[in-house]
Amino acid sequence: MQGLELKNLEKHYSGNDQPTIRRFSAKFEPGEFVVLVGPSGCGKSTLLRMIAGLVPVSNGAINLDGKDITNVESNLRNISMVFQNYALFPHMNVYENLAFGMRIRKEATQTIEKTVTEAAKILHLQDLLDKKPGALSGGQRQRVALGRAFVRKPKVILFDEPLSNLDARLRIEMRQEILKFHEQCGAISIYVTHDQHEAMTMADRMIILNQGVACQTGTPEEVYNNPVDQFVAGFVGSIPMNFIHGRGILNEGRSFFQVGSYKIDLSHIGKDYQLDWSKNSGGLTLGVRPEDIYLDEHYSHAVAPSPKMAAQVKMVEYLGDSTIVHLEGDIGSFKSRFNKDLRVRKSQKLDFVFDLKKLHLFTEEGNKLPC
Amino acid sequence: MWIILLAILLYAEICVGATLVYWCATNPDEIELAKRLVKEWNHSHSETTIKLQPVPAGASSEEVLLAAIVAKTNPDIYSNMLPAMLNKFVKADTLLRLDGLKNFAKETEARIGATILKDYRSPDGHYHQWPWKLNPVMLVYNIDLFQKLNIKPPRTYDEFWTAAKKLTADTDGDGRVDRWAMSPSMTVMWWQRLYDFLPFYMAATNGRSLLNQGRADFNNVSAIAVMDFFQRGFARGYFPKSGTVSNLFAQQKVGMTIVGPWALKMFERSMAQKFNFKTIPIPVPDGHHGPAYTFGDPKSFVVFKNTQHPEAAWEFVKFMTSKKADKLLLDITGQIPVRKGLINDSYYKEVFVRRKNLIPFASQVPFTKPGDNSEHIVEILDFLGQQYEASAVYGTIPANKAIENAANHVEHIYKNW
Amino acid sequence: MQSEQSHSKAGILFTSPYLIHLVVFFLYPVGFSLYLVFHRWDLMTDPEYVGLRNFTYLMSDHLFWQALTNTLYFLVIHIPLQIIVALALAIVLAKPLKGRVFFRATFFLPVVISGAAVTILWQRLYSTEVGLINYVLSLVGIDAVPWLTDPGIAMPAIAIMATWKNLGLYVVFFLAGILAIPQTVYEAAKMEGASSWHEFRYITLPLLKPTMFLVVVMSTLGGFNLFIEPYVMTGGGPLGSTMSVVLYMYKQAFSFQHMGYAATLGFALALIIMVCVFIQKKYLDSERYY
Repeated sequence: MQGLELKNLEKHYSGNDQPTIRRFSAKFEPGEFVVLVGPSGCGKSTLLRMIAGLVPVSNGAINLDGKDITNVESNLRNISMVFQNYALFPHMNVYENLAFGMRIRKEATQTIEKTVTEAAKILHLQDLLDKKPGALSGGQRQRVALGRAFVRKPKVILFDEPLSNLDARLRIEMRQEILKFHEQCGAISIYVTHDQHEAMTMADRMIILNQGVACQTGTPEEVYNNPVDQFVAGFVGSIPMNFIHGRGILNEGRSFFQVGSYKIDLSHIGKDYQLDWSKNSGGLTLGVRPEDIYLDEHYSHAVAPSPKMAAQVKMVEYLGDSTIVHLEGDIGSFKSRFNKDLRVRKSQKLDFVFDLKKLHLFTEEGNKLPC
Repeated sequence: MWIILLAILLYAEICVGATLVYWCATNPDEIELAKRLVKEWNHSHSETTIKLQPVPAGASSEEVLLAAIVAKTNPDIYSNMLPAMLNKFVKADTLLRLDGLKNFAKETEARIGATILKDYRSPDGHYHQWPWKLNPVMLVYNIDLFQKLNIKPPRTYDEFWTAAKKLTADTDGDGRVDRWAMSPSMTVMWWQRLYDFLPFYMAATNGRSLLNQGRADFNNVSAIAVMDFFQRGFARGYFPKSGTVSNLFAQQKVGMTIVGPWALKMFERSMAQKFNFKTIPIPVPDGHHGPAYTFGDPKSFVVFKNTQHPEAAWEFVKFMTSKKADKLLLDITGQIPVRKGLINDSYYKEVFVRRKNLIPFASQVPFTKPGDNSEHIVEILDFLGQQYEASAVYGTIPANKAIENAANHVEHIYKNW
Repeated sequence: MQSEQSHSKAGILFTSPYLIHLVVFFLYPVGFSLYLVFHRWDLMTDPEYVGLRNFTYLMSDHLFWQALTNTLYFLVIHIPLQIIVALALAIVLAKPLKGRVFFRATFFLPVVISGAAVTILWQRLYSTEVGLINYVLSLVGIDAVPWLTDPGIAMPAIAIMATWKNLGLYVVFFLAGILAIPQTVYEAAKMEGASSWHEFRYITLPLLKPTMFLVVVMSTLGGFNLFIEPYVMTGGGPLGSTMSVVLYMYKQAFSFQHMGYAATLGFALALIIMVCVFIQKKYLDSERYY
């Protein structure tokens, strides 16, 4: 099989009760750009280092193009890595940084020069070859780090939070560069980040990791629209999903979510919940994204409105393209994203509705109820 | 405020009488002697109080004294002055001229005699020191060992080598020599030469000095013979080449040693096994005529010029060197007072009866020399020490070359400093 | 106006401990030494002006040149030895070993013990007849080595001792330098196929260059000040082979009371050290990366 396959990978560190990585399995197709995303400490860097061969694997196997490389030395795996702080050799100039691996492997000078020149051309480093990393800007250093990965002509390139040291504007620029670079390399790119926004914008596929376990794998769209559990739902999205705690009830054969005096019809999200709510405690969490909340009568025909609910404005964040409004009502505190033209003031009282088609429902344990 | 307090203190001082500070040497015997005499003095002299203090710790008492003079914390009276070092202090005009004091001539005549005193005269013709005691440097040998090995006490170098040959041996049969003839110092410390090269040179030359009117006076056969003597001893393995400083004589690991009388008590105290020893003069080159002179290792009293009470200090010096005090000195420390006719004086007879082993040292006194009185003596002996080390200990240069180098360096020192 | 004045008063008051220290222990001694360079002074009599005579004497004083040669010989052994041993130890101690805190503290211990005490201890260790070192050598059948009494061995022996004494300090410097190198740089090298030797040769060593410069300069300064070891152990012997410049200076000052000449020696030494450090700076100093 072509591509990279991880089978039931596990990592135990002595002294830790819980494994850092638990039964992690995944397949990566050639040319794919996969983002591993999760909060800090979720094990994503460890996983990356296991693939790189920098951290030994406790259990499981790594196959690359059908070959087991679980215990192969990292330099023989045909895998490159771009490190968080670039890990450039500060005492060597750009040329030497790019040539380091080849020199260690005692490749011919002409080969080295040809390869380095090629990489420099692709990454626009031609004028910087005799500069030392200390004299370069953050973006330039990043490009050198990419170049160092490129000259290996690897089958897999691993990125360990490569943009976290850059400022916001440069980060957006570099995302495009990295994607372009990925296309030029044609390798499998596995990209680690804790920034869901970066993950969403860059990934062909993303894997959400929490406490050493892969929660969900899928395209950014799939993950955004159909989060498998409350964790993923809360993690993905620049303004997190609102969660409202209430109860499920059955009324005349139809399922409703009750919070305070409000009853919200659940029949619009997929099939009808013909559940016997009285059998469990009945506690439920309703998830609604900020953009799926509308001011009363400001919604289009596509929206299936919930009953009107009342709330008071606590804070307004004007973003230009939209406005984030912090609200507090009988159902608790929540945030909504409104059209930029809408003007609301602090302390203003207003009525709003949810789009019943865009609701998510979770058990008290955070598991998604089947739709 | 401070000034008033100081004034009151000064006034009190004047009313109570004079207080003089006296520094003595730091070895236990001398401290005991000083304590007894000072106590007696303070008891009977209410007008002048003596404050006793052993020389503060330092690399050498000379360095401490120098530092004290610079800092103006020097004592009024000091009793450990090496006459060879005196000139430096005289030149700096720090010492009181004693020959202008009351009864100096009379006191000299009574205790020392004009002939001996002349050796202690400063280059300006005056006297700045009061000769106190001597430690003639002599050869002490293990008489039991000598008798056992049938060795004659050596008077000449020839006899010395005969003895050395018999003494040097591997006594426990482990293939390594563990008994030697003698253990001269290997270090270059300048004062070590006062106990090896200098006494042998004086013995070989009837008490000649190293210097004469600011010039080296030792570039001669005798000096070369002495240097050669030590070179042979080390080269032939009669003298051990080891850095240990332990007392090999008391351990019977050497048959002979060169010391002054102060060391006898120490030997008796540190002997592992009791044995008898005897003292004879320093060996002389073969064919030498006349007595064997030696370095007397004298120590003198001096009074510093900045004392407030010169007359009282002089009285104390006289007290410390009185007939009675000299007897205590002899008895307690085993060191020999600079006193004419000491050995025949019935007053001291009982000490010599009790301590027979002091007799050879006391008899040697007329044949001792105080050493050269030069302000450059330390530097000269230091350089001589380096030549001694090179020639005698390591044998890297011949004896005549070593002596020539040392003599040239003396010229160099006088020319440059 | 009033407050400004009281401010400056407070300023003077606050800086006075340093100012007093500077004047009493630095400016005055240096100034006085400079004055002495042109004088002869035996401590007791008034200094006598001699112009450049101390300097011309220095130029022809072969004992000084021998002391300088000895000191340079000491440095030639001491500095490389110090660097190799300290660096090797630092590399080992930088690894996550069991009990490394204990070892780090232990190796630092000799640094805080007084030099005189250490010297006396090593004098015993080096003793030809009863020393522990020769005893250990005798166990493996090696004849007693006259550590301090052989003119060819004494200086290397002192250099070994001085290396041991200062080891902890330089281990700490190197350790700090090594720990400042990010782990990812090693990981990057490893992924390129670098062996442990490659890592040391191409990563650790070049990145320790600033530390290396510091260690070289500090051990040069310390080495030129070699004094207490020969003073206590050998007195400059055997055959003057361990007579260092500072010991010679001490001897001129306090044994011979040639204060002016000793001051001249001091200035000459300072000048030589300056030249040495300047050369080292030229060839060893580099930018700091971390």
